[in-house]
Amino acid sequence: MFRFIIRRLLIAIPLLIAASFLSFALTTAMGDPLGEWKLQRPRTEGEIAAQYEKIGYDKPVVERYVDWAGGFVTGDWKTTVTPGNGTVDVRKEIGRAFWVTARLVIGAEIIAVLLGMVIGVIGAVRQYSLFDYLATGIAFVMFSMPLFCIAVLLKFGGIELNDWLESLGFGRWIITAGPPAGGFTGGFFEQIYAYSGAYILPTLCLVAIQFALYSRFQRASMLETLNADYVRTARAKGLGSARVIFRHAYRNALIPIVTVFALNFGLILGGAITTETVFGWRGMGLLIVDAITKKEPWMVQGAMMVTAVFIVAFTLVADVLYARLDPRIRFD
Amino acid sequence: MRRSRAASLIAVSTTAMLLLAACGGGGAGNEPGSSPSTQNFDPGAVGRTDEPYNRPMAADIGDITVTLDEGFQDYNNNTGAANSLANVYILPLVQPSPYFVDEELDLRIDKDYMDAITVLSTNPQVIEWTWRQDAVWSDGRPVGCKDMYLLWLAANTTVRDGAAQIFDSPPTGYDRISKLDCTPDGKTVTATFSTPFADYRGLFSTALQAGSQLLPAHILEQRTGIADITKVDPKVDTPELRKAGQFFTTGWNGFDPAVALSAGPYKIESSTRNDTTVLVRNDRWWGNPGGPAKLTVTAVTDSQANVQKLLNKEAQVIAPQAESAVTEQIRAQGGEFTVFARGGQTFEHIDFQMTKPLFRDNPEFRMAVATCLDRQDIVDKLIRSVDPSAQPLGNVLFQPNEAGYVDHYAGLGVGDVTATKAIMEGGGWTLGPDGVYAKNGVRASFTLGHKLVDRRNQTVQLAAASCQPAGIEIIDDPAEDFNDRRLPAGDFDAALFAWVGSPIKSSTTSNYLSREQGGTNNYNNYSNPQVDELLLASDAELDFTRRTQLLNEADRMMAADLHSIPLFQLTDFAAADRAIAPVSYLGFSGGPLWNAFAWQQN
Repeated sequence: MFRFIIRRLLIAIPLLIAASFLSFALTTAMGDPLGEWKLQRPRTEGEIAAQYEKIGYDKPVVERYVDWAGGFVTGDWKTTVTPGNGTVDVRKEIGRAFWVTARLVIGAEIIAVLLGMVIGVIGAVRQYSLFDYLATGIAFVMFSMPLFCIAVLLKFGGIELNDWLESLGFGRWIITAGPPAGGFTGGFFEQIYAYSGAYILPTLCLVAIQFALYSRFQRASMLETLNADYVRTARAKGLGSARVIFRHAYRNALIPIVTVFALNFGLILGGAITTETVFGWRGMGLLIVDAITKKEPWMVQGAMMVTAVFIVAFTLVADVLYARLDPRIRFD
Repeated sequence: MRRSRAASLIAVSTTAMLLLAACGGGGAGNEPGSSPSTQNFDPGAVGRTDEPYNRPMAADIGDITVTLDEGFQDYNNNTGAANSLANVYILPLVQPSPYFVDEELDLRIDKDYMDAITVLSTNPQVIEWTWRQDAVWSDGRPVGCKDMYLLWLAANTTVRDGAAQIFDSPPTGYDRISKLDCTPDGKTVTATFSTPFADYRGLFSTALQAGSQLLPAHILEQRTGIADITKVDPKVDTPELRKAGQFFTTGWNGFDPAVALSAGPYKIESSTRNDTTVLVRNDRWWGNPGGPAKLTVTAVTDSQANVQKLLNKEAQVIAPQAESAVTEQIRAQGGEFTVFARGGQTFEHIDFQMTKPLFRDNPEFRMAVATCLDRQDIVDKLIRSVDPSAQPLGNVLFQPNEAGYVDHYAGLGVGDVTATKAIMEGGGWTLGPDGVYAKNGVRASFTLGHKLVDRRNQTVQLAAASCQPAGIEIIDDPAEDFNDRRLPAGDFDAALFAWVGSPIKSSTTSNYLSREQGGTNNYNNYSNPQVDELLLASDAELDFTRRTQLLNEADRMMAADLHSIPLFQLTDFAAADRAIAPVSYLGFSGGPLWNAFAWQQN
């Protein structure tokens, strides 16, 4: 296993270099970071040349890449360069945005995967039951609805709930976008109140989408396992239903969902763009959108590399978990 | 971004140094205080002064939350690197300014800061600013000479680091001040101009942001060890000058309460870059205290999310992008919320590339295109759902809400197919079997380039649809990098984009000067020596009335040449809980926050 991890880590290096090439090419193709700036007012050629020199865009593309890559691996991820965007440290800003996204998605992903697994397993065990039909129906509805649509419905539900709470003499609990105006302050219970009010809608939104995904995978995988010969043998040997399901079938049925979860988690840590946008959380997703809109090359490049690193890392985690779950898998 | 609005307003602020006299809302009331709604539009006259402005008394209305589409970033908005609309929202509430721009875009002497601003002489032009003795920064140090000198120093230095000016600040306007003198107490500052400068009111004023926001120069002195900033010569490369430049470009980045002082009714209590900024009353403020005790200003990029925050009472004031869905949703709530929608300073227009023979050699073709376009239809379909009072624009140098506006395009762009055909046939064009006119083998067909923006896609579709029956073919030519690459290179037949109409006329006139006369933003290569002469004369004309005449004459000539067809103004937009008033939007200075100190319970 150790050798496998080392090998995979070594493979990850050229993979990430290739990813950095690709993202650098895309970032370069994004356009001129000074394009809008040049339109703002009449500027002399000297002024424009100075600005290109300042942001490093006076160098050839390859030289720019080498310069960026050298800085990236040594922790200098550069600063924002487009005029009007200040000179923000890219690494710090990505760190801040990542923390926002992590707080938003980790809880939601855990709830979604647990819920999805439970519903998927029950749906498979009680195939074609009312519960199965209901779970399948809800999952397909969630799949087919755009996320922003779910978000809007949830928000209006939250507003109605707030109006009702207010009519009863309570405060307004649900926050529709971003943190509360006063921040997360006060005593323990006040903070619980503020956090739950701020996070409940985006969490529900993410859970609604993700649980549908996980429950379908879990159900399909569980059905396949339940129909396997070794499960039939276990039943024939007289083992109890619960023991057959959880000890023999469930463990093997976890393998696909672990893969999906690991990849999905890695990806979503790179930014839940729609959720962050509609719920006003300035995490990785909004950061990338904003950076692309402003043609902010180093921010886009940094964020894409962070996403790539997460995907590579969580792919590795998935592979390691394979081995834990399925003893037939050998890595040597 | 309400990108276009934001970029445009940034552009306004970036170019903003100049004549604020032209902001006036109406006639030329020459007597100070003769009318609260008029300006003295005679800045060339010795001893004249402008209308005063005092912040009103306001009762405490508690904490107010405002959402905007961009969050505050940098305390020093003067540098090219930092200058942003996001900062323009906040800074007028905390930084001092000799002038205040009111809702009618009138520029008034801010009497909370100034005792007087006086024209001492016109030849040479000499202006005297006298600051109030009680005008102080939040650490108790006076506002005055050093702060003004720092801006002049920053903009006026010729010292460079490589190719870059070491203060990263635009020189416009400040380079015409040959001498800046101060009284020993630093409260009276006299500027002598080397050449007449009609836009002197924009200097040192938050009304016009870039390079014009006063900063606490004594903080720079403390942090750099410079004993007296007013002794630093902008033209001599000294270690002091470089230290000042270094601090100026980096020391006020972001928000650091130790250096980002306030001299306004509010001070910044905390700020998370591009996210949330909290303003509280400045306890050293000497004027009437503002209504809101605390202003929490949050960036929410999604327009719908802004509206939902308003509906959920999380925010009392919002200023999202002006979208019809947003306005309809708020208006549908009945009387619970107020909506402010008014044409702003940014306007869309179509420019013909005057180096192309089709446009250069066929003035009747330009006239035909201007006739077949249906500007009212475009406005009705794209703008009026947000701003029901929107009208086609009739001037490229003045906006309808400015004094001096005259519609020079009336009767044009009315979608008149018959008239268009008559113009074409009168010019020797013949309708071809493909339904498109042609002359000497040249078809009446051109591409209309624009950046990929939904509103512009729709504009081109409407333009093509209205001109097609008249035998003129308009081909959509969208490109994401159109504004970045093709527009500055002049690589288009015709271009659809936005300019910022500004009361700072010397900034907008340069869009229309010929290249030889410095029109570096003249992307369609328009050239008319008479227009050049009028525009250059207007920049040095101190008399407002005369200047307005010069500009309108230039606009009239451009309308006759038809190298550019103005379409409409983009809408400035804000909405608020009806309990809070008066809420509106002023892009030049504060967006929806421009008068936040005056907000009251309705």
